[in-house]
Amino acid sequence: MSANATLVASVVERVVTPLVVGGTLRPVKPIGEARALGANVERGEVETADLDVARADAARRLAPINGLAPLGRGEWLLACALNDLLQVHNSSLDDEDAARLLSLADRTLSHAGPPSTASDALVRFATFRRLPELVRDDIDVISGTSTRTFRGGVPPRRLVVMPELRGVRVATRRVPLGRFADDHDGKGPWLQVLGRLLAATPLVDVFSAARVAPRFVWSGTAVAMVAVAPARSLMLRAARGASDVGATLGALRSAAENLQESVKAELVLPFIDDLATLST
Amino acid sequence: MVLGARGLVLFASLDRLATFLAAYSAGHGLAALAPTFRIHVLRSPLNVSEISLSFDAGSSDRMDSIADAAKLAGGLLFTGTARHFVEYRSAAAPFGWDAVDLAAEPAALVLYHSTFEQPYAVEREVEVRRFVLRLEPRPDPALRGAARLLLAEPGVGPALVRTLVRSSIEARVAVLDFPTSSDVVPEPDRKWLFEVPELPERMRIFRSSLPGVASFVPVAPRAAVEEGFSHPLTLESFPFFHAGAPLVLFWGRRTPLEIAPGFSFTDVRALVRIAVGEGRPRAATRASIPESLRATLRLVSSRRSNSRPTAAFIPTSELPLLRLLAYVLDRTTLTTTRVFFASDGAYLIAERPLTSIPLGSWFEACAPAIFVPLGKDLVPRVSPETLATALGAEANGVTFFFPEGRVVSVDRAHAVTLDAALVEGVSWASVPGRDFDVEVPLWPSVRLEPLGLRPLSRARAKDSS
Repeated sequence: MSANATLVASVVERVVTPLVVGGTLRPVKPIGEARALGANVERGEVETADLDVARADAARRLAPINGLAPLGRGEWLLACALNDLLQVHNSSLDDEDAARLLSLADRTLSHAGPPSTASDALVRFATFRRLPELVRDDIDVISGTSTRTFRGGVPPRRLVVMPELRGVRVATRRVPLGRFADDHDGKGPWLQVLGRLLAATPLVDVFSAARVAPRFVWSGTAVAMVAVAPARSLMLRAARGASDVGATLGALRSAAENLQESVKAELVLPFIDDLATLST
Repeated sequence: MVLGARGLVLFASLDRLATFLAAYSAGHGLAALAPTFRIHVLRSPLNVSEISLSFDAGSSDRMDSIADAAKLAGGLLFTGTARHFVEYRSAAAPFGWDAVDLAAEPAALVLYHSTFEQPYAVEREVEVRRFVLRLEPRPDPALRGAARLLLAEPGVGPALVRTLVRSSIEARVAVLDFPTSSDVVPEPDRKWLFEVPELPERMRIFRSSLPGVASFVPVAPRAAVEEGFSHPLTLESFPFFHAGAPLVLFWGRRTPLEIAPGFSFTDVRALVRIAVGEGRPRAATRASIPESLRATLRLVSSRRSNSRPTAAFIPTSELPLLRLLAYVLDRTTLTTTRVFFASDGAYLIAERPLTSIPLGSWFEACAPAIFVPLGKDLVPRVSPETLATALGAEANGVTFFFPEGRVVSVDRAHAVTLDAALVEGVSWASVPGRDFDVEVPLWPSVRLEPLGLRPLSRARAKDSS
């Protein structure tokens, strides 16, 4: 198996599959823009039968489809970007490396671009529907007045051995995706890249519009989706699938305030009104 | 070379003859030679008794090999035709010997040796087979093979049958009657003979130490020697211990037992008594299915690639959209789709895929009148009849399994066509619902592993070198 095929297999197995099916994501070593672009996920060297079933299952929440296209280049680049975005908070990286990796993730993301069709959007939704559900278990090792946090990792055994004797306390916090960067210096830029990742998957974006961070904004892709009839139906179904449709409506309306008046009046507000009508 | 039609070996006694037969039969088959054997007890003019064994000479090769065995047993080998026999060739006379003058005495047998010339009278003839049967086996504890013949007294036989069957030992048995040797008891002497092709080591008690049971080791197709003994001759070489001959059991210290051919063995399993109980077989009483066996129905993701959404559930909130959609639906869809209105929404059942009504949740039929969410399967995959019985569905019922773990049954009789529903008022009906198991997906979580030295060594931008 070539290096590229190995990379594809690792990302599919360790990142994409747990994201779709559920379980523990174990991001691979930082990929970077060059390797992400160099790999060819469409060559079909990776067995994705289980993954395809789960993706089709997710897509059927929005559309009556019999099957779904296998992982494509757009999804691959988004997955690589997500891998690097998650690795930004790895305790092995210093601040300089973290900033560089965030920049690489953003560049990878830019190559993915927005979905070109409603079908493409549905495919991305099938793969990244559970992205907003992602959590990370951060472990705080508290010793006296100092606290050392291991983001998503297991602290070295030497730090936690015989905790009573050494006065060490270990606390685990489950952190939602929007708060991954809360104790990180580069919180703002990280959330911006995450926002761009969500914008590249507009159905997921509107599905999770009620999230705390990054706040929902009407991206050009999202507006384009509500402007086209088939895609608009998918957007409606995605928004109605949110756990709290009322909060989703609030987030959509709030975000609409920043749009041009014409776009807001002709495209976005009718969509929000239809959503409100269907949800009452 | 001098070679007559017959050969003759002269022995001083019968035990020398036995030694000769033991030596020769150990290395040579006697199938052709033994039928020509003649054993005579000879008497010389000096009234000395000697033994002769005569046979067809056949060839010089046969005579040479017999000469070797005769030397071992202390016998003298002669060759001749009827009455006159000359010494067979030796190292001193490679081409043999001949008599200068024939003896004039009217003896039955005259032997011409290089050192003597002797006439003999034949006292009597000894049958070869009888002579072999008279030879006593000698103690020999060495075991040869696992096959055994077990000779059991009548009182032990049935118990032995049960033991062999219970121990799963393959065996055949025959019941034999021997002429009684007692003047008091007129009944024949009965024995049970077992043929055991392979007696396991764990059953070695049968070999020697079980009272009433004697064990014999087969040494030829029709000859066996008592356990712990061996016959001085290689019996397998003699033709009268092969198929068609009587079976001979050689006791270690007793006269051999001859069993005439014609008896037949029977598989011991056929003799085990089959107990027939009184009355009719007892019928098992019906009990309720134990809880531990009951499996809850579950919905799992399907691998089918030909899902057809032929049913849909449209919640009440989406019914206005259905009304709007009705204006663009084709007539076939309107007339062939049946709808059942319930308090929580409308259940649509169609003959064709309902892709023209992109509302609500789609369902597909996993069995007649049983619908599951599109892309799902119901497990265990029981028959529709079993499922309907388990759910308590009515004859006209149509059952919908929902992804969130709810199952609803609607009455087909209350369903109307979609076109009728759109132009007429249809009363609402409540439907019974119940819960069942659904798959709970795992929560996706992130674990970051140490990246080691130079964590970004392979992560580069596209335009960097």
